[in-house]
Amino acid sequence: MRNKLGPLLAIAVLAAAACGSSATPVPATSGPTAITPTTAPTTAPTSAVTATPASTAVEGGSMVYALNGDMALADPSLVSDGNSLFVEAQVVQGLLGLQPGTISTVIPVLAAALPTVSSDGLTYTFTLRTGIQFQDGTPFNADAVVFNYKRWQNYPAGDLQTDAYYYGAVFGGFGTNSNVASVSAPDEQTFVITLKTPQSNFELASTLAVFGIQSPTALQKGNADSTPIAQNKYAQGQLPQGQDMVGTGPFIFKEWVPTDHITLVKNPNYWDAANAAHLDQVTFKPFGDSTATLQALQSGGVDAAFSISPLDVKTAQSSGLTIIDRGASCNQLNLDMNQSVGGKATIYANKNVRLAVAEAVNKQSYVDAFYSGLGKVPTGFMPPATAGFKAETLPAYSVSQAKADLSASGVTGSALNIDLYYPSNVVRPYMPDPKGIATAIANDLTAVGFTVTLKTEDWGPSYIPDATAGKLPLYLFGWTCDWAGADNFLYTAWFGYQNGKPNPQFGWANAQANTDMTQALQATTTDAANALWGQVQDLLAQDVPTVPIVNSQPPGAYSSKVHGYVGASNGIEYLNTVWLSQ
Amino acid sequence: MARFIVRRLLVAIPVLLGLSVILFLFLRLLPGSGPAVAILGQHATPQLIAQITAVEGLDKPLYVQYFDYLGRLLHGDFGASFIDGREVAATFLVRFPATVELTIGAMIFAVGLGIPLGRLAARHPDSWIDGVVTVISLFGISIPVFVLGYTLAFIFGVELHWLPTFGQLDPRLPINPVTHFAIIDAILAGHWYVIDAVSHLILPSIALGTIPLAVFTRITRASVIDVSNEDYVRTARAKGLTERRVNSRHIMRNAWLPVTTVIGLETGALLAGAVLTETVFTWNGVGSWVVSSIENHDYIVVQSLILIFATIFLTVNLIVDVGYAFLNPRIRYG
Amino acid sequence: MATSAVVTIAPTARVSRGLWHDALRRLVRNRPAIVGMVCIAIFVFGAILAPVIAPYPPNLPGQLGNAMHGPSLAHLMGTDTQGNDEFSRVLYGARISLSVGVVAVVFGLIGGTTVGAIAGGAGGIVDGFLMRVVDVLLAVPGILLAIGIVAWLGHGEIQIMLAVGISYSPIFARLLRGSLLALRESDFVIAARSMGASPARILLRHMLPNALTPLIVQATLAAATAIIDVAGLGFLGLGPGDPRIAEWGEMLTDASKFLQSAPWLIFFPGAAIVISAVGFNLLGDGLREALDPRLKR
Repeated sequence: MRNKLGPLLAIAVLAAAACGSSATPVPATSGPTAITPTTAPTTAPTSAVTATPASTAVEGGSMVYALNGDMALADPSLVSDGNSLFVEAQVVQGLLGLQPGTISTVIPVLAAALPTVSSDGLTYTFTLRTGIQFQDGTPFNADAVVFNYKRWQNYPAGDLQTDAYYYGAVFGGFGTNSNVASVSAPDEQTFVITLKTPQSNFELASTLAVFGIQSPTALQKGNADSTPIAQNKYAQGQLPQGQDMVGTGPFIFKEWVPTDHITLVKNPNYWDAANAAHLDQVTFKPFGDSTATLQALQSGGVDAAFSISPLDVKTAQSSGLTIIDRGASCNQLNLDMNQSVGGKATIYANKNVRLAVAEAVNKQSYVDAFYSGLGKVPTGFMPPATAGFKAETLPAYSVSQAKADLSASGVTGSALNIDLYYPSNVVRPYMPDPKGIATAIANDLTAVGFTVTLKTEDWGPSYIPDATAGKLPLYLFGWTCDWAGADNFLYTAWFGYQNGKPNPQFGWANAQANTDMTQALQATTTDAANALWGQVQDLLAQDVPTVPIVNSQPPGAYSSKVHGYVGASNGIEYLNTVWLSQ
Repeated sequence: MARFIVRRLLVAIPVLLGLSVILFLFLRLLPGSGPAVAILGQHATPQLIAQITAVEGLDKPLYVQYFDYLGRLLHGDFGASFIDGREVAATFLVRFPATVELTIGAMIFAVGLGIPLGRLAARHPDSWIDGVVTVISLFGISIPVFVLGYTLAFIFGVELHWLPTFGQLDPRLPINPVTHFAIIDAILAGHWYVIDAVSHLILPSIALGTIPLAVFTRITRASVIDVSNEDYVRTARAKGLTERRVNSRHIMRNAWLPVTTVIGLETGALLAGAVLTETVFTWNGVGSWVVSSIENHDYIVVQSLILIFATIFLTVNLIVDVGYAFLNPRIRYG
Repeated sequence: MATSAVVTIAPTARVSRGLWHDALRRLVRNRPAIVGMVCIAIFVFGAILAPVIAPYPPNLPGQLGNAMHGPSLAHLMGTDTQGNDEFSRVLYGARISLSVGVVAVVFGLIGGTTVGAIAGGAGGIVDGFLMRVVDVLLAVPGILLAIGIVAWLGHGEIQIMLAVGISYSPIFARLLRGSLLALRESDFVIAARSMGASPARILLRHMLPNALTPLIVQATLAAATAIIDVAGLGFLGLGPGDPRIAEWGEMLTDASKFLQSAPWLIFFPGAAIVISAVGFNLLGDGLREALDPRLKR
């Protein structure tokens, strides 16, 4: 998930996944494959997250769910933040999805089965489920899928392309720059997509909520492609229920009052009756800070919260709340160093300075102090649960070594006066207390000879644009995975070249790594891809363009009334299995 | 009296005009980027900058832009948020009722408790009662609102489970926003939902009302003591009037004057204090809107809200001045 | 911003040395004022003597392992999220917080008295214009004005002090101008004028010193609200943003995230703010009574 957003991961209990085979009765689905994005077969009965058999579930009820920020836009193809994706994944579904509770098991959703792939790896043929209707009553078919794929590819340059970040990032651009050669609907039930070059992440990437299929009728009537986006009533969620954000999911989008709430109601005609929502209504409520969230949970004002402060976990448990089990970490916080700001080389262009920074930070102490142990010091440049992960020998914490490297760098005097940036008005899953972590880092850097000035900017309007545009020299930045693939972290999020040039966020000239990554994406076997990803990680370890700080397991919580909640470490959790007792 | 009101209105006009100039310049002179970028924020692509420059006339001379802006203001057009495109005026109408409710709630708390406390203290000056009241009011003006708010929410929401800690209504209740006054909407929805609305209002009202409570207590106490020492009160006592009659006919009648003035001043301060209180209690009013607009750098909204707040403030003050003139027979305006 | 109700004391007639003397005498006899002075003095001494009294520095790197311990003998007020001794930080915090409050008020006084003196001294069109400007600023509720200014100037300590100071200045300006206008018609000013003193000299030597009494009172009360307002701005995310510097408002804001897991972190800096604000309020009330003998408790 783009840094901008997403809350995500959680408390790990691998155990739940491990004993998954003892699973609870899973309602059979109508489709040819027994999977829909709804039930988690991986839930152990003993675990907190018990997906209760549907027979005992209480139908009805209204749930209040605390998010740690507002939705950005009501059109899933135009968002990249965790809050929006979380809400929209309840309403809009794609051809493929991730098995709930997992981050790398692809299952068919609106497709009847996983696609067949041509031998050259370029053409994917999907057979679609039949008899599905959009929430506005119009039929779901291959034409609707084609309409959506063409719509994304043809977004005009400007704010639509800017906001449709993921399409650009996954397919390498829009229009003729897109890696999609063609899409077609040979018949009602068949959707064919042909790529220009093989793309090993195609199926995993297709599970993203941003590739959810919306009703063409609603999109056209709602003039969903109009700009500027601020005036686009569809994207702003200002159209009446049934005309805005119209998908095929178990919940229907009812209304969005910005900064106040988002309401979804049950889809009574959901195509997969066995996995229809139990709840009549879900109200999402954005909360600005962790104290208010915790108090709302404890007082019963909200039933569940996407995230709470790691330091409040014990308090939450002692007041009878259950912590959401999200399995192994799928995120990473980095201390990024930009080697070139404003066209000028910074002191971080000097490898010895980068090493000194990496050795100065006492990462374990941050994990203990700010994450209550709900996280681990990274052993590589991605979370270990990621496919293609390779453990690397990262610079170890050593004040004396850091001092030695700093003096070897030849950087002295006022050049050691550095600015360290952290974001204000935000909490990220990988960064529960940006200010506190930045302060601790500043102290550690001071101890080896830097003079650090702490600086801050507002997250949405300044920090993200400034960091990604390469204006910040030394700053905290992180990523929550969308799927657990190496490409998602190394290429999409961080080190892929943009328009043939190094990502300005790092100013790290890494032509070799970029070539390896491009080849890995086109590799036809997993082994070949992983070998290439391994090379990329070796290059990273050699050059240390960034300092991995933590892979965290961000906690969320729910009250004793909530049942059937299935956590996922990419922060996309489906509420159709949830029911409320009483 | 009519002439007085007209004159006061005429004085308010240059003030608002002056403020509109300052706010206009505020947006145009934002450091760094220039107005189009300030308006567009992270969406500032070259095409959109060109578009907004044309639409907003940002390439025209400043004075022309100002008069355009003023013209739109006079038509009630406060512009639209660059983030969600919603008209500021429309969103204001939805959110302002929440702030009004909170302000009234705080005022009821402050006046309802402050005046009796002040009278109580004044009746026993320099006694232990007076001491306790003074200490309460001192702490009231000395404690940061967010500390008080969180503490109240913890005690009454988390520990005692008596009152909700956020929002205006339980989102689970089927209440349609008709007037956007939570209490009125709850009454319209029936089923005694109004109890839920009132219970949501209590903690924020106390948090917001504590400073004014302290002020009213002090002013009431001081003015009651002052008036009690006036000759006519002594005369009244000397005439053998009952203490009750002296109190109601002579003391309170005159002591009300300074209290009224302060109530007016405090209403403006309350509207501003709502900025903090609404943030603590996730209260969807104008105050939390100011904060979120600043966080999002939605400067058109900030600009308009400051102007609207000032207008309200001036209006309240005018009403108070008029009320004061009515109450005080010795004052005769123009 | 808390409601600084404008002080309603009329400038006293000619202030003589005797009157100041009397005022001082009345002040030291005023028990609440003494309590106020003691409250302030505690923190002033704490601030000055912090390096001597405080058991630890306000920001000691490498203490994360000691973070969030409750009060104990080793750490009388516990430790904060960075593992620093909270007692030491409260002491050192007095330096920053009291000076931020006082400097903000001084900024406000400089701005306010300049405008007020020019307006009250010059009269006529200048007065009319300046007072309209003051009206404009007064029409914007204080904290909104401060928020707008910080949004404009950016994060930082100086910015906050300026913002709070500017938001107070119109009150000072109006107060001073009112006093000056009243003094213009007073006997000793008329006398000075008839003796041929220049207008500037009359303003500076005769009128200003006499018009200062209400300002002194208002400034003392404003110092109390300034400390609280600075904390409030910090809570809204507009603070200086460097937690290595001990400052009560910032400490309080950071602690509000851990209200339940570390209540002591909100209690001690909160108490420090409340006590110093109470101190300034009591002193301000005492000064008002001392300087205007007609007022009685």
